Amino acid sequence: MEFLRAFIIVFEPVNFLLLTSGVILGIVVGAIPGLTATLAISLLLPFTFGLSAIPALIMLLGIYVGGIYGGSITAILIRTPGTPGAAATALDGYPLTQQGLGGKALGVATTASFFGGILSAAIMIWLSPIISSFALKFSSAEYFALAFFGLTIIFSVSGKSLLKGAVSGTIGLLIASVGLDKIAPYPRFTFGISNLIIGFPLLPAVIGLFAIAEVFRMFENPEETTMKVKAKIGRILPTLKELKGLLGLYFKSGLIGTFIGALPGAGANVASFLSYSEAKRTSKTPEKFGTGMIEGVAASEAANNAVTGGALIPMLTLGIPGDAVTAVLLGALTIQGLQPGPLLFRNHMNVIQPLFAGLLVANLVMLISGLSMAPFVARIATLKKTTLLPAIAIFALIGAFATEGSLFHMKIALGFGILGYILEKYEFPVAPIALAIILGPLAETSFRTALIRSRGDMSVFFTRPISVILIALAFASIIYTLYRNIMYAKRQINLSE
Amino acid sequence: MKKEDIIAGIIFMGISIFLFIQTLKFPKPPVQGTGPSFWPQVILTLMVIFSIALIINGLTSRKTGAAGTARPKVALNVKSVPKSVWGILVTTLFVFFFKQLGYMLSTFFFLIILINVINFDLRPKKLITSAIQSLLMLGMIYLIFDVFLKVNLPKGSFF
Repeated sequence: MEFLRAFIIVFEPVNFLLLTSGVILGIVVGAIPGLTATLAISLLLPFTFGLSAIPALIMLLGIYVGGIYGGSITAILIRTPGTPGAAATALDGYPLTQQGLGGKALGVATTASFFGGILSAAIMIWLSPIISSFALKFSSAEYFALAFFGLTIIFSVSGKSLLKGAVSGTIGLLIASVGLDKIAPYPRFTFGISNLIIGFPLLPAVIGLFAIAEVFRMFENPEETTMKVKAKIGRILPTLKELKGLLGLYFKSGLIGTFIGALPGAGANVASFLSYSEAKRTSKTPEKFGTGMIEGVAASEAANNAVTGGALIPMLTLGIPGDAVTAVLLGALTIQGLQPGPLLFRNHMNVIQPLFAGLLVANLVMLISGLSMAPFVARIATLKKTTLLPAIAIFALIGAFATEGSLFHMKIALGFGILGYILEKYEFPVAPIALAIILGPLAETSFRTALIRSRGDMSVFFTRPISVILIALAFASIIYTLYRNIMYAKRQINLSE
Repeated sequence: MKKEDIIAGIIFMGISIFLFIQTLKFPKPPVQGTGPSFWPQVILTLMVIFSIALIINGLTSRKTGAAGTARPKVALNVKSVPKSVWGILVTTLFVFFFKQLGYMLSTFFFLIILINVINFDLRPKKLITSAIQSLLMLGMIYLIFDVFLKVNLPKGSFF
């Protein structure tokens, strides 16, 4: 009955309109090569300030779902994945377009994304309350261990160099420590700037790191325009027979995507490639993959959209974002006065349930919009950068200003934009900075609270079973990432020899 | 040798040492590890370690790209400055003049300059197109933020 009420809230005209516009905006931004779901959410966050929690959050969920799906449209039609998660879709999607079957590929990609998204949302709805009620038993020692485990995600989102990822993460932790200390009220690293007493505001920082830095990066090659859609697209809506044949694959890929999404640091790109290779491995005609196999498109798309529900599980239940998108979403929840974590499920079920319903409806809206608008979206995505860049830049800057109507926030966004641009130029990833800004305060406060309670006895972190398990998992995660990188480096050396 | 990594390592180390000295002025807690200086000191120590690793990495690794290849000579003029530098410069000026000039003027100039920085095309026809494009964007942003979201955009000294 409660859940039915949540659906009624989502279908209220204003909420439904916001959710639908979120999905459509997400699809358009996601389809534009180089612009990711993270950028879409960062750019459109200021829109949600004037809204109350439920409409704001379901709109952002809409952008998330649409943003992940949108990447497949350009991957299929012009072989340019709009998002990294759609790279595997291009492998068979584009050959299908060349054969005049682009419409069929789009239809299957859309229905696969829908099935994957719905499956992962259902798993999230089922699992989240169980995990959150378990996490309610956590004390500050467990919270520190959890935040520490979360911080090891930095290694998984580090890209090419673990060392540079660690440097970026440390910069983020340092940024998070600026401002009035939460336990002993003492201003740290404010250098007499009164605006910094409350620390660096999260939202302008995120807008700077993900939107403004991206604009500066794209300035390096603004003449670069994407290819035009030339080939015939054909019929989009898949037949019932086609759908029936693919249902098993949708289900399997959806499960893979949900599981990968719930793992810290492994996002849509890992899920889609893993699912693609699994589909190829179990296919009767694996040799045909890459030449225009519809199963390749289905496996990749069902998995990358299933990541949405999976990634929301640790973010909502434990307050641990697994990647950049969920880090920005976590920031959005905080701005709405909601602290993600187990208490969210105890104190704010009135928000959580519409959020669950919103995710299911967002997938349905994505299915309808995708099937009806895909070719049109592809045309928008091929706009010249000369039109896009100034629009993104001004939107991001005014958005940062709008957070508090303060020029200081705009300056913070610019500062983080320049910092992000310079760091990325020298191959320091920016996602670890955002993760560390979010997890740093949780790690510090819980660490110090645990020590105050134990009167300085460090054994408090190693005598409580959950804390020990989480710390062990954190070290295992670091060791595994190091091992994986060493093996990768060795393989590269062998290949070059 | 990778010069960029060595320079980055030195910069990060310098900043870390400077900030570490600042933390020594923070109040001392009664229980070790619970004061405001503890956490930043842990982070800064890590940063120094990573910086040293970065410098060593820079000294031992081979520079990517063709070794010994001289950079092509570029004539020093407006067009030789990377567009990203122009982008940062124009954006910085916009932020610092946003309040004084007000939303309308500053945004119009920002957009028109940005579009032309990208194009480097100053033919009258292109300038008119970019002016129309800027005016349209200006109006759209005004509608969204000022009218719908009720954000008080600065009017500036000229309006």
